[in-house]
Amino acid sequence: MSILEVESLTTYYKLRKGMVKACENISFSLEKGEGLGLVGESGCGKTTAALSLIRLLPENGEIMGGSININGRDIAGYTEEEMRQIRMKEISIIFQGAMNALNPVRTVGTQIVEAIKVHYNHLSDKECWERTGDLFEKVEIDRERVRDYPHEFSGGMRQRVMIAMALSCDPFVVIGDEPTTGLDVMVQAQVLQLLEDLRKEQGLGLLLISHDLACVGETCDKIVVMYAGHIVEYAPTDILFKQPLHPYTKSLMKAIPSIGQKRELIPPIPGSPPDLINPPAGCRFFARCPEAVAECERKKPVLVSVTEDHHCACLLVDSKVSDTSG
Amino acid sequence: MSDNRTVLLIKKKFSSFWKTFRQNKTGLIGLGILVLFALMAIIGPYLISYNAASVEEISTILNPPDSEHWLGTDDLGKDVLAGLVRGSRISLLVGITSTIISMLIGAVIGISSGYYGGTIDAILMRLTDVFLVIPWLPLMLVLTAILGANLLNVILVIGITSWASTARIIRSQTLSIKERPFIERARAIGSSNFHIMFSHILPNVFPLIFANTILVTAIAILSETTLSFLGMGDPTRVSWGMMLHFAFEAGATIIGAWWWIIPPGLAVVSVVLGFTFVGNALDEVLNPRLRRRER
Amino acid sequence: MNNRKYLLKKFMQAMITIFIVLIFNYFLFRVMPGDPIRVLIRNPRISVDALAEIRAQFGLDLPWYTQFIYYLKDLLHGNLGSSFYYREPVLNIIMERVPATLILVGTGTIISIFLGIIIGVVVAWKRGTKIDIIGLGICLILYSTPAFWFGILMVMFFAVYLRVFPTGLMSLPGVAYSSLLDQFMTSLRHLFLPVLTFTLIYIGGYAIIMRNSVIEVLNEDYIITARAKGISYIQLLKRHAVPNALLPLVSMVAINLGFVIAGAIQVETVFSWPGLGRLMYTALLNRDYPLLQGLFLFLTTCVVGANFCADILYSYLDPRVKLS
Repeated sequence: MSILEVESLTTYYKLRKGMVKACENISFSLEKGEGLGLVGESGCGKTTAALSLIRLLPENGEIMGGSININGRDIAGYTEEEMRQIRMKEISIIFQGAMNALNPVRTVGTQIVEAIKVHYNHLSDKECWERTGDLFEKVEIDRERVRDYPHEFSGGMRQRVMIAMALSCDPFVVIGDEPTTGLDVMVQAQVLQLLEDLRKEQGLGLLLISHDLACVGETCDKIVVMYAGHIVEYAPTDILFKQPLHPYTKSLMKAIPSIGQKRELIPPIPGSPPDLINPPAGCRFFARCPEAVAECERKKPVLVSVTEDHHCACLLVDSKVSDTSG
Repeated sequence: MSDNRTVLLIKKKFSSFWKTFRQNKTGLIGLGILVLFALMAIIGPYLISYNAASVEEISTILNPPDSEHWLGTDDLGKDVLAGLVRGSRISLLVGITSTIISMLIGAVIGISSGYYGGTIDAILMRLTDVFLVIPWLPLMLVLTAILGANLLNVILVIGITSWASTARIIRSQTLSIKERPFIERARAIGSSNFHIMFSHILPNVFPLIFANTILVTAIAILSETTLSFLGMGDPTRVSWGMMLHFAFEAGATIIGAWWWIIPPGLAVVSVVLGFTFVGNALDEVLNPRLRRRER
Repeated sequence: MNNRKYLLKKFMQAMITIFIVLIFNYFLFRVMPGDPIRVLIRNPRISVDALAEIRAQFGLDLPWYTQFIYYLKDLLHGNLGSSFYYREPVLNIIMERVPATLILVGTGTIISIFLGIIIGVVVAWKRGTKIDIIGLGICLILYSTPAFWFGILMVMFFAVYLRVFPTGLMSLPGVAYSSLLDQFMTSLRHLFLPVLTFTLIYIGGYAIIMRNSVIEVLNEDYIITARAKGISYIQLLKRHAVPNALLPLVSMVAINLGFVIAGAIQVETVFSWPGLGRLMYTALLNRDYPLLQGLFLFLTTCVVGANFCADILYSYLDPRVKLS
């Protein structure tokens, strides 16, 4: 059984102007010890999906439908009280630690001990601090630094603190929401390596959210590509990199610099994502798609299986699939 | 830019501004209150007779409200409603003119401080800090006591004691505007510092401090009321605060002459509230960051 | 920057402020229109000789810089001059009145800050609901109300109409108390209305600051991080939102001292409370310039001192300060 199974998750935000359809019909699953990457441009709904999973949406956000199964229990309808019991203990999240993700006027240790205390109330203060020290060593920080304040850490170190916090109550599933954005390349690689090691070592299910296909490709087993609130392609990493099917995935691929290529030369995808209050009737990528045909503007593509574990939502691919099968 | 285009631009800007402002309920209530009091100050005195100098019969002294005197009479037999209407002129006049003075001082100090930087900035900001930290009411009282309590001095004193926070805001805005390309261009074509500050920076700063100006007016009116109540107002130009001073000194509290005490106070609260509502609404419209934060 | 350097800088700033106020204070009372001595004596028939004698006695015949030095020297010895009206050293008069003001302002400030914090947090928590709108409305009305007028209303309602509290003063003059308890109860009854007025006037301001501060903090990223730990909403408020929202309040309380003093002057005037505020009012009415000057200097120094204390407290509460 998968430790996390998301089934047609749909999340909207209420605004005065109307509903923002930020996330529609999202389905994927995550096994023990597996890494799943969720990729897309900013505003494509990946953070909404993550916040829906741990039920920390802003006040105007609401899960409209679908199920979220953690170890076989659907938490989509859990009350706030029930959610509190499983946050950190079963599912935890690593936010981008750069800015204000940690309370600036409390030591990092206090903030981690606070989390441990909620879920392991039989532990004494001393044991909690002991455990925090151990966690620091696990993420390769000197254990003495638990008494330091957030501003006394560098960006990469702060990210490690966030990871230590996310692991503090032995969760099954860890969500990393852009955990390396804003760090320089060397530090980024170190943090990603650390996450991968911890995942394999502890058998965590890691959901890594990023706008950077390359960094997800290096660490994850499976990849979900999202565009404008929809999943457009879902496949194991090696297959996706070998044979990307969706035109959007292909454009993302082109944006990855190969070795020796100058970063400035990467062609950005022209145009911007559509308005999600009144999304287009047909394919949401239509306006920016280099391969679009007239039919794409009217007909909504659905996610179909191309092979057993390669899924894609594109009319062109769909017709090819029906051609070869029919 | 030709005049015609400027007028069109202002019209367009104003209509889009009004569209957003209209949605703010408290702002509209505030505006309503202010319009009402403005009408009272402008045309009110022509509608109500005020027998200021004439000595009335004993029977009309300190009368509670009746059909003839809607708000009763004071210890000299004068009509309280008439006093209230007359007082609105003085209170609004002092509030608005002293705010203009305070804005002028704040603008000059804030813009010079932000534009020149360095030593001038350090000295001016030190001075601003001093004015921020000195308890304002004792300062105003002492200044008026020394200069003499008349209308002009009250206006001047409120003006020169309440510019500090404005100067701070203007300085920080100037610092950001200073870095914009058109300032660079103006400097490149040889415009004088004075010209740049007053033709380029000031017009750009003004919309940003407009909301602040309205809020300062609210405080200025409160200051005038308090000064007058404490006996530092102009006894010949009776504002609402001065009415309350006379009432208090005449023992209206102990006699229980509520009709003499409540109306002027309520008028002050309403006007101050009106300015505060409008100021806050303007702040939300002109400074949308706040709006987003509150969501 | 380390903590000591930071505090030293703040201390220097406070000293500079006090020095500027000193200069200002000194010259202010010397530029007033007319001959200060004539204003002081207020006797138009005084002889020229007597006038010259008084001038020499006050040192007014010396050049201004010498006078200023003398002034500073006197200040260092705690000599603020002598009140014309009371014919006593200014410092003594001021010191006599300090306890009454401290009782009124201290009690009122503590209660209003405490209640203001609670109201602010509740209103922020319920933001957007009816409680928020009504609460905010009441706060704004209180904030827009002149303190003296509110005090007068209190007197008229509780003391004149209901007759449940005295109209003013700190105690009844010339009354013998049957017991210590009796005396205490009487004092309490006299204290009640002024403190109530003072408290209600300032609750609004503190509540609004606290509300905005809590709302701002609730939108910070670390609040989501805290929620992701599974802590309860009460814990979230208690451990993160409220302590962090209190930080700006610390500096606001110090900055607000100017308003507190303004409130004290008004409330003490209305209730004939024998403190510094009432003293200022009588000094104004009597045009007692030496006393006014002394009071102004004293109050300003207190505010500057309090601001310095707030800076120390702030640097202790917020570890980031030492960095900037």
